[in-house]
Amino acid sequence: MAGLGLGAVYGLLGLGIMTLYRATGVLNFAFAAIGMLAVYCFTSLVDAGVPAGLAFLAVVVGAFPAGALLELVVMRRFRDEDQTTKAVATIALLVGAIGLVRLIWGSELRSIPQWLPEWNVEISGAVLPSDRIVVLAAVAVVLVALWFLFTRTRAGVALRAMADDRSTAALVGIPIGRLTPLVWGLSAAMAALALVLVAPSRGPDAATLSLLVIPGLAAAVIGDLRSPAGIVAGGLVLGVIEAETGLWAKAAENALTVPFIVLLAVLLWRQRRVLIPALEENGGRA
Amino acid sequence: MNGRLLGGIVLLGALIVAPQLTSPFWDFVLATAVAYMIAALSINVLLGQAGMIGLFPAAFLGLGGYFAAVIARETGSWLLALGGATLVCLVVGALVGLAGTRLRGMAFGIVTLAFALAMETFAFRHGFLGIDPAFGATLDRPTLLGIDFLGDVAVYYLALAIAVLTWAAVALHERTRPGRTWRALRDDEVAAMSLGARVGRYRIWAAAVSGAVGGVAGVVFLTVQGQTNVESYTTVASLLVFAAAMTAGTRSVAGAVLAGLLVVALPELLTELGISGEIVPLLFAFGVITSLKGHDGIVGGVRHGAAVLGERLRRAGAPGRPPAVEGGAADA
Repeated sequence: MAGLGLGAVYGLLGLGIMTLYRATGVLNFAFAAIGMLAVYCFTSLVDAGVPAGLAFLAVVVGAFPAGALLELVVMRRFRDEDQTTKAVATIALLVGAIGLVRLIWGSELRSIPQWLPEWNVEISGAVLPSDRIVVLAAVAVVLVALWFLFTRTRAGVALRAMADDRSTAALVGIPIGRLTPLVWGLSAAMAALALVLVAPSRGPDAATLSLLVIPGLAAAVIGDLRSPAGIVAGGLVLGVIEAETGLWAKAAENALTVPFIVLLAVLLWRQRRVLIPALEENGGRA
Repeated sequence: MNGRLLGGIVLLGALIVAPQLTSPFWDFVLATAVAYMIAALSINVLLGQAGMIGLFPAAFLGLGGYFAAVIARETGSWLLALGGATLVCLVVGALVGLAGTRLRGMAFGIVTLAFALAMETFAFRHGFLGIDPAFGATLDRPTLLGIDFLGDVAVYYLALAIAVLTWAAVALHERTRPGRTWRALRDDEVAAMSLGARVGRYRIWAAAVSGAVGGVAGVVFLTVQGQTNVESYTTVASLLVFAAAMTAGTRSVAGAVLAGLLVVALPELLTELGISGEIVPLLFAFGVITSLKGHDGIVGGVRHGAAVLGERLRRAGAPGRPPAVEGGAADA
């Protein structure tokens, strides 16, 4: 099963996109770009001699305040705008992130350290390399953590209330102003986790890494932007389809068209159900 | 209205004399910028007029260029290449627009972004139409009506002529029934629907026209460059053109002109000043954020400033002048 590792990362991206969208109504096109910045920081740390495991921990933890800061500095001013405006604002973040990387690190390619342990596990004849197991385990951990957060903690329930109806949540005393940057921090940490895991197999190009948001969005849309299990399943299916397409020689070059076809099919199939109800609430402004 | 007409004439005059004022290096830069002005116009049509988010301008830049290269190779006619490539892009735009009949707002944006990535990987990086990505598409500069457009200045004027024709077509179209329906859709889709507008059709038509304008830009771009690099057609290039168009303003031709200059001339200008051109995407990001919260980009901001200033002058004691109105009926 080639593609399971990749699919798990797509699922992870989808989960991060969903978390932010559910709590703040922001469909974040810059989600993978935030993780991409973390990858560059990670590589610089390792180059400077920091042990890879420590560097990994540092960028995932460090992404939290960075994400919160992004909300406080930029996205705060879009809190009361409609969803389309918020999403376009994140496109600006995406462009800005790619520009920032080229400005700081230049456009030459940098090698990304292969830091995950390398051994193979054999399960009834199928060989599973250890890095995929690590990725799958990370997805499982994130899933459990999200489930715990959203169902078993006060903050998580508050976030869900916020996602369902911001003004009512505010009326019952949920501190929306303080929670929003926290969600951004959480989603930034998830982006950093996903991207640092996938970067060794995807190469160090800022654009390639940032555009992983597209399969991530595809996974999120498959899960209707609300069902974590659906999102992870969608990500895994996408990853496997992409890997299988890659194995089929004639189509190998076109594996990246898979997310486009899947996205188009799923969005059209769901038609106005996904993303749209909220849009209609504000007068159908597109 | 007269002010806008005067502004248009001044703008056109500036574009006509520009190559006379600058060094030969800038002739080439400006000619390339004209191609991007047309590409930005494709965003103006889709976002500024119809209110749809299309994140694929570089994909049509590439499609237009690739089809023009193939048609010119087979027929030897540059005009046929221009016409044929535009037609192909019109059809492809309509096909993408089909998705727009069902998808609103950002859902359509996601599909267009995925389309840009699919075109980049499926077509431009992998020998699409038999064009080797390592060498790119090629197109010779033409000789039309006995005039050869081989030099940089000559090709600049050819590009400018096509740009002006495209602008005129788009401006005239804006006054027709479909153009007015787009505006209704942009401002309030539910109201437009309740008045009987066939929303789906007009959204397909908007994507088709935007695609065709993008295709024209692609032909002009390839004609100026002669040979192109895949890097001009990437998804990131699409995002940059989109961000530049929003930074400059998507509701006026002046905005499209400025966007073309921002994409092509600004990095060169910064390099000449000893600043890294890599800062440009950051400026665009800032520009988009500012535009979303304020007026229609730089051009909208300047217009608003001028209107406010005019109002102040009027109040200060110039009786009899009509009050300045911001964002009037005719954004030409």
